[in-house]
Amino acid sequence: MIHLSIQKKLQGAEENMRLEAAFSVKEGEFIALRGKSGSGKTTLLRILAGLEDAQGKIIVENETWLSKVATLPPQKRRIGFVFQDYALFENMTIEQNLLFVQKDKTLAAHLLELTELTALKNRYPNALSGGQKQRVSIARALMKRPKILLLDEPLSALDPQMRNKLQNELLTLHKEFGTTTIMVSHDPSEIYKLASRVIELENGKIIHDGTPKEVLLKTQGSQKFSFEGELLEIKKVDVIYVAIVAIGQQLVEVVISTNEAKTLKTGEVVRLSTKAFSPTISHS
Amino acid sequence: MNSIKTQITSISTLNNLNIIESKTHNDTLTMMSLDLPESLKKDSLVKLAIKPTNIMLAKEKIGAFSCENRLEAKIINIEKGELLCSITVEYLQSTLEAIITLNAANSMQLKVNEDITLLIKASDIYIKEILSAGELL
Repeated sequence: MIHLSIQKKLQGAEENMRLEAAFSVKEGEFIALRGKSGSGKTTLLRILAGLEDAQGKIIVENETWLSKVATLPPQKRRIGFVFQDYALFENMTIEQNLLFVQKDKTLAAHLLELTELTALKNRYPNALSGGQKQRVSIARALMKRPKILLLDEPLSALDPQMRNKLQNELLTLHKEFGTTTIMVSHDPSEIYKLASRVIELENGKIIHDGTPKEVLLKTQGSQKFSFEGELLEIKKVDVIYVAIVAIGQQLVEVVISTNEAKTLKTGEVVRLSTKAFSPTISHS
Repeated sequence: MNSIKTQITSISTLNNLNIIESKTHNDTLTMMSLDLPESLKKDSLVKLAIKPTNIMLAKEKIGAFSCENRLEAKIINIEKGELLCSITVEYLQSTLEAIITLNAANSMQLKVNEDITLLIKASDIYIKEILSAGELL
């Protein structure tokens, strides 16, 4: 178990805010951490890793990492950290990048195989694609057999195909190494596929903590198919009205009645919903 | 997904609202739609589709009723779940599925081989595919 209860003053985007988070994590859990930028996600990971100071307590499997009286230095915390920008040693080969962390050739060979990097082990990072670099960075983070793997938007710079592949690899590695994983992510499909629990931060406070479905499924009453969009126009046709709404990168049309049209103003943010029974699904 | 091949017989248009009538054998189906694809014309062959949860079933003839589409079909299979019931029917050359509550199926005492009327609202039908273009208007 990980017990964490920390406080820290932060320089927020608009004003100073306080990061105040307390939660427990079971061993082997895969947690997604989400929230707007500046909500305290990265700071929380850095405090866990010991890269930043904070008040409060962190206890990992009965070992105190942070308390009033003592702080365990980062190198003594069994943590693997993966950043969005890879942070590889450019002057070392792929294999050397792994061995730098831990001189364990067997484990390095195993991780290189799992991440399909064996053929590239003697190359230098600048000869690799973004996806390959991030694989090296993930493999390197696992060389210490960490208790906790911290991932700060590890896949957000990659194209959708590579993202999908690395999501599957992350899940395989998480299971094989039995690590407790905390990943910052904004992508709902990524969170749904990987995480068993989602913690959402806003202005330094936890506002949601639940399963991906509880936190991410946007519902309106009993309607399960729901999107937020901007109302662009309402056009009268015959005795009905057609509302044109922008959702994400596309426009949709919805038929509404006169009474509904009266309550709506163009430009406002609206929610479109329908019952889960109504939409149809087909190959795109 | 339920689909029926039909041929468009008329399209009435008001701005971007359309009422489309199409024929299969001697039955006429009516549907409502907003903007239509440009390739859709009178005489086009289309595949219409209806979600199984949007089909109502009726046993006796009913009088004045706002549901535009009434199709005579025959039950060929009944699959009862714990709460819902899936009824498969044969309608002309199409096989369609209706999903209704188990209570409704039980109270109607539906049986395989029985004749049944399918009721479908014009707003619940959509065009899934245009199979061939019609005449140029």
